[in-house]
Amino acid sequence: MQVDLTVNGTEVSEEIEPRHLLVHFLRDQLGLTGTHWGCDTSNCGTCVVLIDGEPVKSCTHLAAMASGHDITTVEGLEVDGELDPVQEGFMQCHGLQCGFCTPGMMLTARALLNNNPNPSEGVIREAISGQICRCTGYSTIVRSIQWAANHESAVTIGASQ
Amino acid sequence: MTTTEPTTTEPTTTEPAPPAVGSDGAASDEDRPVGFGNLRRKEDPRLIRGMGNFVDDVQLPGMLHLAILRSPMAHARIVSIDKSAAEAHPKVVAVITGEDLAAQGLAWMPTLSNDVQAVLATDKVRFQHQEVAFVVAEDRYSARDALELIEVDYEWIDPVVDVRTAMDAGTPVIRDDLEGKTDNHIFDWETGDEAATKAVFDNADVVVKEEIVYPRVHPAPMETCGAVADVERVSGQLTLWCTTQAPHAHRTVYALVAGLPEHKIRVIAPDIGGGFGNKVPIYPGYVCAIVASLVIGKPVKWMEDRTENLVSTGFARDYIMEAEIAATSDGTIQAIRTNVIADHGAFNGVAAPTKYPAGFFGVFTGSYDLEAAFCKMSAIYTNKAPGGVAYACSFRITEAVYLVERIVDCLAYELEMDPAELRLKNFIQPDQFPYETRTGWVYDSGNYEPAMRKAMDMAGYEELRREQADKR
Amino acid sequence: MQVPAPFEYERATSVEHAIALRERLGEEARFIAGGHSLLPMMKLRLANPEYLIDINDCEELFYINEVEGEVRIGAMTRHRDLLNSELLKTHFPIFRDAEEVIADPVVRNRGTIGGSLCQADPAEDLSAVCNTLDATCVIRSTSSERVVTMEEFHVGPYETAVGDAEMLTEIRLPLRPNGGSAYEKVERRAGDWAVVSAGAAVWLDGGTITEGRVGLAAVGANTTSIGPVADALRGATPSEELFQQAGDLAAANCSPDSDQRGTEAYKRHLAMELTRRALRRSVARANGQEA
Repeated sequence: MQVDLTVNGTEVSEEIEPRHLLVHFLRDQLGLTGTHWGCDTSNCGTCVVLIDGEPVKSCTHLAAMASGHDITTVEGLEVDGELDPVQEGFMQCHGLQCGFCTPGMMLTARALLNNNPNPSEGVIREAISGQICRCTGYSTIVRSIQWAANHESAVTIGASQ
Repeated sequence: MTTTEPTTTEPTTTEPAPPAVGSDGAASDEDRPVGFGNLRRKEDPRLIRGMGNFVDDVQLPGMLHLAILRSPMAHARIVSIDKSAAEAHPKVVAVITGEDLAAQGLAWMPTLSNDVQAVLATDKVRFQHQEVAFVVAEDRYSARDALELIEVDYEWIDPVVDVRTAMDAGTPVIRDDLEGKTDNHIFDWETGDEAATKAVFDNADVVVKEEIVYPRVHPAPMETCGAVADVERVSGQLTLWCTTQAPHAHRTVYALVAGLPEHKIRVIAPDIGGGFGNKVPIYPGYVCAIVASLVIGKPVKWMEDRTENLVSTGFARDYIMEAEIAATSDGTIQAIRTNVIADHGAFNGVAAPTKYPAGFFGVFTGSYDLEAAFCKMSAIYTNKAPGGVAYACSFRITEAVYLVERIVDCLAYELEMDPAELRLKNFIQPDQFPYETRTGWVYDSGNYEPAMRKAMDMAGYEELRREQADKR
Repeated sequence: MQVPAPFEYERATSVEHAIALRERLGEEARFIAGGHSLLPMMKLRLANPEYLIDINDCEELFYINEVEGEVRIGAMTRHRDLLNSELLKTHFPIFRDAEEVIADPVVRNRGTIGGSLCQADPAEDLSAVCNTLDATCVIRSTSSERVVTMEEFHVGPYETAVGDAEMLTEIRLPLRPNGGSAYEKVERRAGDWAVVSAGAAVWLDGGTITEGRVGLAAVGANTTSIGPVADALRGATPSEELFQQAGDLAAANCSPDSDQRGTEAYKRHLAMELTRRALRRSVARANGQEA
């Protein structure tokens, strides 16, 4: 079957099998390998993308279901050559080590900050509670998101001007 | 549709507000974790853009996908395998069993511990989810479908899953592939003076005994294990992208297994999504990918899923430690003795540079000045996944530390003494260094009391004990 | 690699269309809403429907309204919206308590109340909430609509009263004055299924409980409201003794199994203790004493 969707602002039209998971569609078919997969049980969150601006676990979403919607992957965070403050924050505050959980974490952070520009630490921790990191112990991820909250710019996806 | 309101539920927290921003917009030094300084990591600009190059990101022209059929039984004879339906699947390129590999001398491979491990089971399966066959197909979905088309007939053998009873008479022998093997024993090691230690224990005021179990745990890195094997037909060069923490060791083993000279093997360890020891061993899946590429002449990718990672790859720990501590009635620790049973699973695949658990032996006497110490260890096979990796703390240090600190706590409980006081009383003193332990290891330096007191201070130990006393 | 077996995909544009598709495609067709119960089962190949009917475009099923003395929730309402709803917070704070411990924020963006109830997992939290609140379920077919109780809705583990050519469209919660409700859950790790959880709801008149209900999850074949507890609460005066009595009745009137989440004895203890706590908080909320 055919799916038509927007990925990182670009319209995409592709042939898929109904059973293809969105994560595999993005990685294997579109070559956007920044979105990862790490579990079989929808727990780990390395597959998180934004669908219509909301974080969704793309391993538990069919590509077919995404047809007609807007997908943002980590590759879409950078706008016109400018990094999203979330990306900058993760670099500034050592929010990543191996980097495998990072794309999902950053997208969830971006969605959080779009809705809540000044979240407390508790709210940040709750927002990322569906995603696992085995390297950092989460403190530097929280700090990275706080840094982004303090350094918001006009250049982010979903930003209300 | 109801509008989405921002979530206002907040767990209570006493964390300080986010740090201040410098006037130029750059992060102030308070933003940085301790010790981070001004250096930026070289790999971050790629990784935060999603431009990592993890093994599953590797895509080569004509690349095929490999999926492994695993045994649902922990211990069973393989009676027959019918792969005809799988081979008939239109998207399947090859289906390989242990028998096929054995014909080429490829069914077994060396482990990092001088044992051998089955690449694919031939005569019998020896742990649940052991590799039995593999499928190579055009895409990963078809490969998964084809697994269901392989029929395997198993004949039950009683599984051996309790390491404590694995040496009992009449227990099935797991490693009957090893010539002359009549039980599930792997090795015994010991360190220290058994007689001298016994003498101390026999005459001690106080002896405390405790079985201390360190269960099997799994390193569970976010990225599972996998490889892309590409054997180039004309040159005979093998290029292997692999989730490996030890590419050189791997190359040596692949050279042995595949019969290729090392200079024709290139092992690429690209970006890795965590290792923690889980990516040190050589897994059958890697060898399967290499064999598949060799036989088919195209690149072959194998990526395990999370279930496979947890059930079949290198675990950590799994030590049953019988600990004893001998002391005077006023709390002078005299000796520590331990008998350890180490569960190594079905194949001894421990990733260790030494034959014996050096870390354990060197550290189980802890920071204490003892008169005597003795450790005996038996490593045993069970019908469980093979391994026993380092994981977080090398070579059984974690087990040793757990053992000694737990048994010291047990002694404190027995003596009704504060556990911190007991330790402070028994530390090796600064003027005793360099200190040779009762098992022959030399500690070159140490100043334990100030370190202990500082830690107690930072943890608010005195206050905690006061609060505890108040509440009792 | 855990991926689903092949199936055909249809997308419904309305409830009417969805039901018609289901009728046409037969018993091998399943609705997919959030997909966070169904897709994991399909990836493990425990569920292998031949057709999936995507109902995420059925706009008319996304709502939480107060209508004719009831709060009515459309079956497609997402967990996230149940969590954030001021209407539910006012009338039934048990929903917020439960949603805070259901899965995680990302999963809650997609999962729906209809999907949760239709999954009918014995440990499913919203089923326990709906049992506690004496909810009714609206099931629609091409030609008719029927309203069933929670007891009638949950036929058995993973089995509901929704027929092959039917669809759950709405959940109705009766409104009574002076109510308070709460939910308590023990889980092994964040986002996990309950070891045991308990929901409670009370309605007071002066200092007396006119109606009180307790619903448990993960203690037997289906989540259940405990009849003997309701009997004990009716007309009683709230007190620690009453809460203990209710807790003991709850523990005695459920059927937990020993499994990897805990022993039967532990689960009965949790049934008792969580019932006590949920009742205590429900009464406090009915008295305006706790948020």
